[in-house]
Amino acid sequence: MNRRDRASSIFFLALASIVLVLSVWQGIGALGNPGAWFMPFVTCALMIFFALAGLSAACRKGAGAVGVVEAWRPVRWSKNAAVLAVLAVYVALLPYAGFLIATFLLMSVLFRLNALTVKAALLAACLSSGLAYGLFYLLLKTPLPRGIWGF
Amino acid sequence: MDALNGLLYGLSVACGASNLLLLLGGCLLGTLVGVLPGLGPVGAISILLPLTFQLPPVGAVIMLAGIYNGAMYGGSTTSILINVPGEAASVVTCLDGYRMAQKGQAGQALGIAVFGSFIAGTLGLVGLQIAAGPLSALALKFGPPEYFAVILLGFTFIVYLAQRSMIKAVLMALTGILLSLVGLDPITAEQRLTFGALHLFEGLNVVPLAIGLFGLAEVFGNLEKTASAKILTVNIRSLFPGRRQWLAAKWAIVRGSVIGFLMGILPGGGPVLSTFIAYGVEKRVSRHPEKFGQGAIEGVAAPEAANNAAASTSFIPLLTLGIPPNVVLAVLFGAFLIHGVTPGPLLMTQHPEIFWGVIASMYLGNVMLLILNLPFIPLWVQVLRIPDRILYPLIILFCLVGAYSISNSVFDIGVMVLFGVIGYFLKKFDYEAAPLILGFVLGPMFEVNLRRSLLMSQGSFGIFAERPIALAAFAVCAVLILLPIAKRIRKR
Repeated sequence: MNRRDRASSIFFLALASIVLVLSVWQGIGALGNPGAWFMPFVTCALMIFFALAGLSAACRKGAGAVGVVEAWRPVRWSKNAAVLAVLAVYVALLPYAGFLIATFLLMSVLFRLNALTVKAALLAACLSSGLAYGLFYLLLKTPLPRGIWGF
Repeated sequence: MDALNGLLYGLSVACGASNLLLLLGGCLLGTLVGVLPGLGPVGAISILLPLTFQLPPVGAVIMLAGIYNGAMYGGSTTSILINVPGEAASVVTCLDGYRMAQKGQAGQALGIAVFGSFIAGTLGLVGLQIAAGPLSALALKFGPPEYFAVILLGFTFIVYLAQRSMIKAVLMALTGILLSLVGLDPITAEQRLTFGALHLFEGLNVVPLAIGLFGLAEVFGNLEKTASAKILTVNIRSLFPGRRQWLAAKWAIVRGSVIGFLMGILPGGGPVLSTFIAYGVEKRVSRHPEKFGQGAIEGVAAPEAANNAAASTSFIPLLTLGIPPNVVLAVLFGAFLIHGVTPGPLLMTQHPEIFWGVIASMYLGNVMLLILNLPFIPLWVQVLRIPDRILYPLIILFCLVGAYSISNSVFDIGVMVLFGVIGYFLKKFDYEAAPLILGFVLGPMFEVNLRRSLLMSQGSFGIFAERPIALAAFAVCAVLILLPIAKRIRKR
């Protein structure tokens, strides 16, 4: 156990506590006639118990060698943050721009982020989005989002 | 229908031209995705699921079984050639497989992995075929208390056999159950944890969750790495192991098959754990344990046999009880439901074409993979040479389309991205995602059967003691919970 375990146990403790209070507030019913919030209540009660057990184990064993910050030190996490931001924009853009345009833009940025030259990134994006459109929309008849331009 | 007639009927279904083509396509696509480092059977099934949407249920299920089998076979290729397991069940294969490749025996290592997988997979299927009928008949006698107790036993096994911390595994399983409760209550139709969002009324779908946790999270994990894996330059002269190698490997294959057979049935066991046990047993019984880790062929044969035997027998609880024993089968369970097929004791009588068709297609899939894998190995090696900068954006694209096409909803893409991030953080914090998916899939069954049991008994937990099957399941749970506690006390 280490500082990461302590942080994660506190997260689960907080999450379970919130849902437990919500369950009690909504009404859990009786044992002979359990209500809709009975199961969330039982699940969260157990989560609190095990999160406390995890927290106590983490505290007993001390801070340990691996902390929260160390887990990110040897890696290029900024690349993940960029990919995540691009994906968030894609989700927002998809219903309006449609599959073909939104996916072309997404793939261009993803390929460029992965160190392809601008020309190569555009070509790869064109091919991949076109092939995906052909396979899923034209061949497999998946109703992909059309956007305001109708494709 | 007895087992032999059932198999013949299944063969007549699976041998139809279209079903054979679907099986072949499934095996090849599954192997292709299985070969890619990090993307195992869960990712393969989740990402390729949309390809089955336009198919009839029998064809779709046959293709999915082919994808599963193919991914299990494909995982070992990367273990042997680049020392990066294609999926979790191939981790152990790295130890001796890669060393064999370094010694110029890559062909033999790949060959014994394929032959061992074929033999063990076929033996596992024989077990599945024989056990399925009696177990289905027994499962028909199950009521809510029995189902609740068996699912609880499954959860206990999952936690007991967790590869890392047991507390973390419990927390993951409970989080999975909590997520499964989002949506309308199955008994009263009351809204739970939806926060008024229309998209959440029907609850979350297992496929975007699985793609996020096992596909996108894997890509995130690989993108941040500062160095990429190097492919060993190997000269594959022969894929057929020599006589001496066969003699050394034959008992390892048998022992691996038996271990895989038993571990496959256990909830939470499955292919991954069976490989570790098979490797440990092989090392213990060997006259030259010092050769393990240095390129011993038994170290490749035993885990590969175990993982494929377990892959076959893990279908037993899914097809007979409707309870997926591991995360891959949990995703497959979700895929079956999408195609309108409910796995369980009634599957054999209500959909015999699917039940026996799946079993027969797995036999055929094993033969296909044996014939195809050997000549295709040079092609899989080329697949491994695709640069990461091209591969990862393409995997992201497949993840996006896979998540969207489950219910043609952009919301599901958002869910997939969210769970991709969650999966990435879970890895950082040393949590396993598998218990979460199992908790998510088993959660609704767990809840309904608990509440029905309590309604039947008017709130008395004594109902579980009155039913012999439930009582036996509870007794095993108690032993599994008390064992580690007793061990810890004895250590002190």
